[in-house]
Amino acid sequence: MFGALKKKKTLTAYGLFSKPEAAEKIVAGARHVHSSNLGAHDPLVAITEGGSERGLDFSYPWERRQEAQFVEVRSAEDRHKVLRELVGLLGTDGHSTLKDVVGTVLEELISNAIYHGLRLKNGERKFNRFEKPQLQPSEYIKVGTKVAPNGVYVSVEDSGGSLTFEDIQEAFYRCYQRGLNQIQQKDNGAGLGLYMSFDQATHLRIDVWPGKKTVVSCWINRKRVPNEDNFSFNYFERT
Amino acid sequence: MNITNDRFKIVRAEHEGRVVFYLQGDIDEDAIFNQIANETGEVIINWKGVTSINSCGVRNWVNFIKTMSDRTIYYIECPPLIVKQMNMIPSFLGTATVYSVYVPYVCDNCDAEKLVLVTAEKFGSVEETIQCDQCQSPQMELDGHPKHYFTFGRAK
Repeated sequence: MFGALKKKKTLTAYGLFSKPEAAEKIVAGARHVHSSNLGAHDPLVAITEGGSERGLDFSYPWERRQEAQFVEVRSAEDRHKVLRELVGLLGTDGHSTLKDVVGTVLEELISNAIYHGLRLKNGERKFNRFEKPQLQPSEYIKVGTKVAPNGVYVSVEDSGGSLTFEDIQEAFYRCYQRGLNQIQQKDNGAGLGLYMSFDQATHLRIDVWPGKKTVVSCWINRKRVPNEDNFSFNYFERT
Repeated sequence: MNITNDRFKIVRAEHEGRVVFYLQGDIDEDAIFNQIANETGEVIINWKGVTSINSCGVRNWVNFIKTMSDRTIYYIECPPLIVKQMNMIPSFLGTATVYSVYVPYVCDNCDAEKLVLVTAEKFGSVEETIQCDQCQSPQMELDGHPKHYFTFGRAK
């Protein structure tokens, strides 16, 4: 499923962190952060390091790609429809913490795919937030979800392949310093999507084939307690 | 009532001489809040009916609330999704005072969820466990760390 990993020295940070502390590590260059009270013995660390070295197809235990149901988003209208349907899978009660978090993460990841992932040939973003985009036949955005008893798996894949590690570092630096410029005033978005997704997801994995596709996968625990500080972030750039 | 789009609306109501704006639905890039600015005097925002807010909705609100910095504003009945925004984006609060928030609890035994309305004087002393209404287990836990949940209170 996954191609060879691009040969590049990567930095893995492990320990027990808060999300802002983990973001600091990412801003400092860590493409892999594992926060767990098991530290270096966290099994996810071994998977990351083994996967990075082998460059083979691998997945984390929280990934449910094989079981997930996938739908395509081809327009701005699809975005709202898909969101309603997928969040609806979690029940129709009023506020539910899980439903709120899944809704936020899905919305931000799908919006990122539409408004940041898809680019023009010159590299500029194709759509702004005030347009109602319609994808070309050669473009796609696929959204996968799997609701499990202990949480929800979400995956958003786009045919852009334009999300760089430097984009993530910039977003986390800007957002976690919580200064006046936390929010961008650009036409294509507020620049908060990755921050909101990382802050609320338990595990976040990003695989980028530059110029070809980006796959953002995450796991959201049903309960935040008692392991709120057990989470992971992984960025893989592939060839 | 002012309908700003088919996913979001603002309802104005008066309670004991005080004006309350009920925000209802999804706040996104199409949400407009100008109706609130037209009101003179104190403004009370009731967030209970907000079902989602995305990053562009956050930006719209922050840009709007900046224009209200000379006004007395209260946030009431903030659900967890709004509390999260107040914690993640300090400018989401602007100069407003938070009067009440819903605190989420989840049962360790049967997974039932419950929101408990807590007013400002109890923000620092919220109970970490309560009894579950459904299975009567005494282990219905606050869904998150109380220190993290009330970060917005320290930012003010």
